Amino acid sequence: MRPTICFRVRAPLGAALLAVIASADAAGDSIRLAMGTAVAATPAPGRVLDLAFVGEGRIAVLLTDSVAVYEQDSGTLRRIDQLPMEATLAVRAPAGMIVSDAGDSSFWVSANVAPGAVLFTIEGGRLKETQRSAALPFRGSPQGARFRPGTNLIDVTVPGLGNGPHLRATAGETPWAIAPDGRLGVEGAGWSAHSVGSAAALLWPGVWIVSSAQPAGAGDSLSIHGGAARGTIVATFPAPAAVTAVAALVSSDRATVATGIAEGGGHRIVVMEIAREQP
Amino acid sequence: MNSPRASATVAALVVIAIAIAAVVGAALGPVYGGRMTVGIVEMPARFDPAPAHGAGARFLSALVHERLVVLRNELPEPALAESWASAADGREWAIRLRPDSVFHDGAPITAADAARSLRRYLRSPSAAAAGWAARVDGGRAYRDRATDALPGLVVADALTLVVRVRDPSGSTLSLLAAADAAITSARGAGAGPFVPTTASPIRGTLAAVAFPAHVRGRPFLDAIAVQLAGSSGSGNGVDLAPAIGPGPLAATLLLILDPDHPSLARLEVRRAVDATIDREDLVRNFLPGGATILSPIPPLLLSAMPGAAPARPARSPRPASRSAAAQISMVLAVSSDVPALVSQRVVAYLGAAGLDATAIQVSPDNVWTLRAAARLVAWTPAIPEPLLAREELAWLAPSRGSEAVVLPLAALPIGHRSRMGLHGVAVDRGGHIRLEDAWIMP
Repeated sequence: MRPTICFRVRAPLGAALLAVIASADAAGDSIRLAMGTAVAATPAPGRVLDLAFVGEGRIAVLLTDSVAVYEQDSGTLRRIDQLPMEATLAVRAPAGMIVSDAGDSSFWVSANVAPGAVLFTIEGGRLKETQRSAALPFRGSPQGARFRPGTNLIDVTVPGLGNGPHLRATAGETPWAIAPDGRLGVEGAGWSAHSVGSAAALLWPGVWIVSSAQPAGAGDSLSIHGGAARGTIVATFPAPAAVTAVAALVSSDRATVATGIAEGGGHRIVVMEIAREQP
Repeated sequence: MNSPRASATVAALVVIAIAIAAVVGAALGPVYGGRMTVGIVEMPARFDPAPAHGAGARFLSALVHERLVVLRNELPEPALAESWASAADGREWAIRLRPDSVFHDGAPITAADAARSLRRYLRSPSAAAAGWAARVDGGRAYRDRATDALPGLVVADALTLVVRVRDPSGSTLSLLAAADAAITSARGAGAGPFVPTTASPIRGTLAAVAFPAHVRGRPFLDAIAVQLAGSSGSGNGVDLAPAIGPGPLAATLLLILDPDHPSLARLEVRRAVDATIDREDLVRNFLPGGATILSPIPPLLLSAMPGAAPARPARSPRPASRSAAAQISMVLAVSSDVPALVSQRVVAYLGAAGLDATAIQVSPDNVWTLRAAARLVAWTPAIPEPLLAREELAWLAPSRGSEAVVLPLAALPIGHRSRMGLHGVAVDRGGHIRLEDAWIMP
C-alpha cells in the first residue's frame, strides 16, 4: 500500500510557483504530489505572525499590532473583524502564537511585542477580548507558554520534548515542536536530524507542511516533510517570498492550508487545499 | 506515474524545485542566541563617548552606545529620541525622548541625561562637536570654556529637550548622530545594543552581553567578545574582523600635506607630489575592490548626490618634478588601518617627488594630531552626510586657503572577514560595522 499526497492549489501562490505532479520514493514508500492553484488569497494589513483555523472554518490571524478574523466566501478571503493589540516591547524579530482548538470560537494569542496573553472570542461575527493571562495556556505545560523577553523563543514544556526554548510548539493529539536550530520534534519520536523553517503545520500523522530551513532572505519555499518516513523532505516548491506562518485544518483526507507571506514590504494570506489519496 | 520512467522524471522535477528554493533563500532565522568573537586592530582604553576615527573605536562605540538620532540615507531617524518638532522658524527644536528607555544600569533615560551628555559632546575634540557648537545658541562660548551657561540647551520636562540654534539648519539634528554625541547616564552607563561586562577593556579584550532593553530590541547574539588581533584582524578563534574590502566604498585613502611645514610650503612641491602618485597603480595592485576618485568624500556618500562622479577617469601619471624639491626629509604619519604595502608605495612616490619621507605608524585617532608634515589616512566621515563630511574634513585638515593640501588617492571598500553561517552583519553608509542585527545560523 503506497500512501499518496495530492496537492490542488487553484490560484497562483506566486510567480515562482512550479506546477508539479510528482512522486518520489522516501524510505521505500512512494508519495505522489500534485499542485494546482490556491483557493483564495488576500492582502494582509501587516506581517502575519501566526494563523489558526477557528470555528466555522474562519481563520484567526495574529499580526504585529492586531488580531483579525477572516472567513472564506466564494473563493475570496474576507476580513470580518480586527482588534488592535498593544505592542510595548521593541523586538528585532516579531513573533506570535495562537493556541486554539479547531472548531472552537475562542483562541488565545501571545506575541513577543507585549507581555502576557489575551483570549479572544468570536461572537456574532465580531472579535471580543474576554480574558488576559500572564502566560499562554498550553496543555501539558504547568507554567504555560511565554516568549523569552525580547526574542522569538518560547519557554514552554512540550510533552516528551522538554522545556525549550522552542521556536514553535503545539499541544494537539500529537505534541510537536521546532527547536531554535530548526529541528522538528515529535512526542514519542524525538528530534529530526535535519532542520525545517519556523512556519509549519501538521497535515496528517507524520506529515507536515513546513517553510524552508534556509537563512531568511528574499524568498522561501514550502515543503512536505515526512510521509511514511518522517524526517524526509519529499517535495519542495518555491514561494515568492518569506512564508511567515502556516496553519492547517484537516478533515479526513483533505486539508485546508493557510499561509502568511511577506513579500517586498507587503503581506498576503493564501489558502490552499491539499488532498490525500489512498490508492 | 507509477512507471519507473515517470518516477524518474518526477524525481528530477522535485530536485529542481528544491534547488530553486535553495537559491531564493528563506525562512529559518534570524536565530537568537550564540556568541561571537571579533578581532580589531586597535582597542580604545575606555568606553566613554569620544571622537572615533578608526574602525575599532567606531565598532566599539556602535556596540556600547546609543544616540538620540541615527542617520538613514542621510536623514535623521529616531533612536533614543522618539520624535522632534521645530518652532520659531526653525530656530528651536523640541526633542521628545522615548518614555520607557533605560540605560544599561537600569536607570531611565531622561532629558537631563541627554542635556548632560550633549554638554560633554559640545566640548569634544571632534569636527561634529565643533559644528554643533557653531550652530547652538551659546555653543561656541561654552565649547571654548568661556562660560558654563548654555542658553541653547534647555530641559523642558523629564522627556523633552529644547535645542535653540543661531540659524535654521537642517543639520542640527544630523550632528547628533556622531559617536561622541552618545547619551550616557550620570554613572557613565551607555544604552547601546550590548552591555560591556567591565568598565574598560582588560588586557586588550572586552566581553559584552546583549542588552534586552535596547531601543531597537534585544540583539540576536547573546554575547560578543572583542579582542586585539593582528594587523590583518586575524587571530585565534576570531569569527569576524573589520577589513578593507570587499564591501561598499565607504572610506577614502587621503594624503594630507601640511602647507605650513617647510618641506611642503611651496605649492609646486605639493603639486609635484599630487602628480607623482599613480592612483591607478595603487588601486590595481594594492587595493582590490577599491576605486580611483576625484573627491575626498567616499563614493558611498557621493552616490546619493545628483550629478556626482566619484570615479576618477584613467590618466597616466605625470612625471615627477624632482627639481621642485631636492630630497627634503619629512615625517609621514600613517594611520594603522592603512595597509602596509600601500603606505610603502606612497613613501616611494614621495621619494620620486624629491621628498625623503619617514613613515611612522600611529593609531587612527592620533594620526590627526601627531606633528607631521604629511598624513596618510583611511578616512570615513563621522557623520555619513556629504556636506557634513566636507565640513569635517575642512576641520580635520584645514587648508587655510592653500591648494593641494588634501590629496584623494583612492576609495576604500569597507567590509569584514567572517566565518560561514554569520548573517546580518551590516556596514552602514558611514563605514561602521554593526552587529546588532547579526545572527548565527545553527
